[in-house]
Amino acid sequence: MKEPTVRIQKLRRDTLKGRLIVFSALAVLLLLASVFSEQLCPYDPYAQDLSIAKMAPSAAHLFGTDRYGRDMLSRVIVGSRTSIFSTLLLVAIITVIGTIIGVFAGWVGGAADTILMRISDLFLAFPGLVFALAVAGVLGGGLHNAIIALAAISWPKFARIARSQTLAQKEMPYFHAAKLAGGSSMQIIVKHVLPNIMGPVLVTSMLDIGTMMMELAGLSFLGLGAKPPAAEWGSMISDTRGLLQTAPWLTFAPGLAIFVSVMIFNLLGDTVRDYLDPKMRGGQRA
Amino acid sequence: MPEPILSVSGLTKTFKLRGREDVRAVRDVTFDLLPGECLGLIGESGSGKTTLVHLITGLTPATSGSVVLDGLDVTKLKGKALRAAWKKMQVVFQTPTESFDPRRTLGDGICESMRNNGLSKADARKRAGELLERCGLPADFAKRYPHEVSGGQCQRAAIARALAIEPKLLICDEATSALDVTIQAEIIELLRTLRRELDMSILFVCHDIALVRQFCDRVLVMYRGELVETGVPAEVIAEPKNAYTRDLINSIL
Repeated sequence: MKEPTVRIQKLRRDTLKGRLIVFSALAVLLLLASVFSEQLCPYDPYAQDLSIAKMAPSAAHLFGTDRYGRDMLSRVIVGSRTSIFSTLLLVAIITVIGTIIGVFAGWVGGAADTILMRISDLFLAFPGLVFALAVAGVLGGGLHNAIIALAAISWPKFARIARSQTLAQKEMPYFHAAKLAGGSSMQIIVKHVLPNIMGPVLVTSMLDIGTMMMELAGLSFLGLGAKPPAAEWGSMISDTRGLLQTAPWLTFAPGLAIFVSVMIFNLLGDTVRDYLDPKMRGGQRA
Repeated sequence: MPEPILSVSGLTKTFKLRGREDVRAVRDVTFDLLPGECLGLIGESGSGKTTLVHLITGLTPATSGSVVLDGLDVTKLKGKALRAAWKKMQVVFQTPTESFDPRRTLGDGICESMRNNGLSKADARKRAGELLERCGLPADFAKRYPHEVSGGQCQRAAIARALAIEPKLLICDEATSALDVTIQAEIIELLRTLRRELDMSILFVCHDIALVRQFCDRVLVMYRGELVETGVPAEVIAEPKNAYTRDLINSIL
């Protein structure tokens, strides 16, 4: 392929920066909306009023009302708190656990490395949601258990990335120099290895937010996540799917919410990855 | 004859490869390095020079043999004791920019060994500045990142880092190979001055015979993991005893 000209490179960089700003802003907006969800709700999301049950979308109720007459817009907004924060918590957990295991395996090597990596192979080979179903089935339903179940199967991806990055660092001359400087293993890991492997790990976790949100909603849809009447997008879809023929907007509203937020986080992840890629960024800093 | 600072004997490293024949990267290498001596080590790419350096420092465990540095066998040391031995020897690497952590300043890199050996932050910073100046760089280079300086400047900083804990033995692993010829000459001049002032021994790994002739008191020739010839550089070049050494010299001169 021909090398793009400097001007095209610059243009790409500029649009990349623009994309980064737009998607970060959207993600922040989403987070703010879920933090201040109670203030944003036009109605009490749990107040039932059977006289207005199953109303089609109107000016008063933008997303209509469900079978108990609860305002769907308010429920979707409040649901964002459960959906988004439990997803972020889940991603944070698997990032930390996976990184710790991966760095340990890469650092120590030998038998410990082999055992840990075969275990992670096992998890990677297993259909994720099925395993999560089994774990959630054993632990019982509920959002906490759904998070534990998904965390149990999702860490290997991070462990693998952290391990391969750690192995790469161990070959670098500066790593040898750091050893010769007399630092302990812990010092070298904290000062040199972690900062240098954080980039790829963080990008992976950004890209995983969307997937995890869907899987969490999937578990809730199957009745193994958040329990009614708590508003959570997955369980809201599950709750209203019987009324798909008569009141499709009830399923549509939380579905749209999942679609939009997954999309925003995926696009943000993509953009961050491109932004951190030195080949896309050009310039002096490699 | 004075007691050698470094005494390598029977040093061997065999890499075991699955399904293929073992690679004997270093075979039965024996030599002494005297205090204040500058010993050259030459050989083509893949002859085992860098592996030998890693074995001497203990970064790679040896298969057999011993490396006695100032009375202690490095191959037998582990953990804390090995780290203590590293106070006596330091390495300047081939690729200057990669020998510093890309996310930390040159100053951080130079201070690291001093901080690990109990110097206060302020004292280490002050000494890092002095070391940089001694190596021909302004003291405020301590604030720069490795990608912000040239290869030659970075190598000067790497030498400053190696000198920080006043090692008795300085190992230069192809320290000048990645640099321009003019910069190479400057670095050699710097090493010459430092060696005189600090009374260090130097193991100078290189594949450039001309450079070794200028700089070293004695030279070892390595071929396929073995030492094939030892002697004063001028003599080795004038009258090579070994067939490989002859080829190596003919290919360059």
